[in-house]
Amino acid sequence: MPVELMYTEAMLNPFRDMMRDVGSRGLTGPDVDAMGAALGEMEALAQSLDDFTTFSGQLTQRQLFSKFSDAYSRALVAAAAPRPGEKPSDDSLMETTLRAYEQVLQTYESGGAGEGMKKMAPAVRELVELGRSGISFPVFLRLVEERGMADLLSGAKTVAREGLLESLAFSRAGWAHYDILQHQREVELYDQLAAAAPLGVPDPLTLTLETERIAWELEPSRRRWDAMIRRWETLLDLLVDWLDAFAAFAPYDPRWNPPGASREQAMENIADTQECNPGDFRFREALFKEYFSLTWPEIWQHETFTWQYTSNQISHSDERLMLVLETYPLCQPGGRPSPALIARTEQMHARKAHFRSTNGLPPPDSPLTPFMLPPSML
Amino acid sequence: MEQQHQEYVDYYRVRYEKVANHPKYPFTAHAERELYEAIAGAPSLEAFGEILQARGLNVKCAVARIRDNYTARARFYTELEETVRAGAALEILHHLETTEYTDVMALQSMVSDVETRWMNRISSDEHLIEEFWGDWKVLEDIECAEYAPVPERWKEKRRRLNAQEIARGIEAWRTRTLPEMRKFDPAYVPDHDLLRAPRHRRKVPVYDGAFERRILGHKNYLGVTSHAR
Repeated sequence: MPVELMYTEAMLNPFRDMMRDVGSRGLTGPDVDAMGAALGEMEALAQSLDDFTTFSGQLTQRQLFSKFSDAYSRALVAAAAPRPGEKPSDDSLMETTLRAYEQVLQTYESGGAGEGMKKMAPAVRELVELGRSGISFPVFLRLVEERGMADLLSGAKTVAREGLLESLAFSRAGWAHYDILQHQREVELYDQLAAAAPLGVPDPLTLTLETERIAWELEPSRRRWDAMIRRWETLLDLLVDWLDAFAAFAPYDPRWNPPGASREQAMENIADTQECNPGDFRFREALFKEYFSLTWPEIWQHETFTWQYTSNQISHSDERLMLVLETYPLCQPGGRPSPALIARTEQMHARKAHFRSTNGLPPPDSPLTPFMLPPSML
Repeated sequence: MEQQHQEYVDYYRVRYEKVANHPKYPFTAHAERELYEAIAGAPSLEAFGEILQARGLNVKCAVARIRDNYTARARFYTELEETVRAGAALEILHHLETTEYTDVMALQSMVSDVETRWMNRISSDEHLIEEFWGDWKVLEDIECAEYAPVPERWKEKRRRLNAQEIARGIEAWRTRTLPEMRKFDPAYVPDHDLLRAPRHRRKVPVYDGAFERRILGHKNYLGVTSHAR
């Protein structure tokens, strides 16, 4: 069975379009033959393989994309070259260049080069419009250089400042901590390079490499940040579940009584949580300290906690978080929560007050708000 | 000077000015200057065309751009100790040292071939660290189930569930992950020793003790020995 059409269409259509393009110009010769051979091999693989990853892997291994693109470039260059004794025509060079850009524009706009490249479409359209505005070819070339548009076809990272600001605003709206840091630094970098560039356009190579450096530098702390959150969330859940497993609602709660479970299974699940969560909690608490050198009280004042708390990314209500704090000293192997704590969690669930009222709402546009710890913990 | 000639002189001047004195483009600046001076000093565009052909100025510019570009990339990745990511740039620079390119298309073809080959190598090199970090939480769960202080009566159930989880890990590696990797790199072999290389180690931001313990756990989870296939 061939690879699914929706995948092969997206991957092969840009190449089919380029093949049609050389056909419509009446181009022939070894380069066009090489294009046909590469595309034929891609089409044959799409028919003979049944798995998209294998298909994509084969295209990469056989270097079919680059073979096709090289041949296409050669065919276009050969078509634009003047015949022996003929004076080079700026008009034909301009036409060839603009048709190549138009081809790129079509690929970008249709999503054939991936969603990310759709953002580049307006810049390519601007370039095509500039070329069609009636200026001469050398003036076009000069303006393209001056405006930093020369790298659009070569695939170099040409970034518009507006795009960076858009990404920054998006990450701020989602309270994505490290994305915000990364995009802030990218905007600063862009401005520094633009200010230093003779024509006010950042050098694309420097911009590409230094943007990569920013992501590279932030990567370890980004991973550490995410890992810490994931692990203190587990610690909170272990305490929440332990306390709730003693409540009267536990046998009816899907945490212990999932669809299809018998009463006996539910009771076994509850016993498991009651008896094992303290040991699991203490083991994971020790792991947390081993990984991050942070103790339980320190977690609550850590910047990861404050960040998640402010941005509605902690689902537990303040009332439940206070219960968690009071449950902590009792959650020891062989221990059990006090009757008062059990009664409080039952009452809280009856009022449906265990989740934050802002749960699921978009994060607020407000300064960081630390969780108000009881004086005994300060 | 004819208007068309002047317009081309202006174009080549802008090209040169963009790279003149730029620390990343010494070879490009030299080649662009030669090109600019050739057109500015030529009596006509036709004469410039002959000079361009005779001295191969376009090819010189293309080679110089590639040389500067990949010198910057090689320095950048070497500075970051990203030795595999530096590979493509170093190989391209080696080609430029050992081959005289007289055709821009041949030059582009070489760059494209080298880049594609190294993309596969980079993806092979970086696969295991991502797999390792992605499995870290499962390894932690397995360790917790084995060593957390819980009543004796639950231990057998925990051992059984751990054994099932490890069997799932081995099966997934053997039947899915490894075959997927070998579609792109038929010679792919996971090497956990490589995870200690600075380029990988930095992606696991915890102490060495926990890191080494998890490496042992991960080999067990995938069912591989030190250089197992």
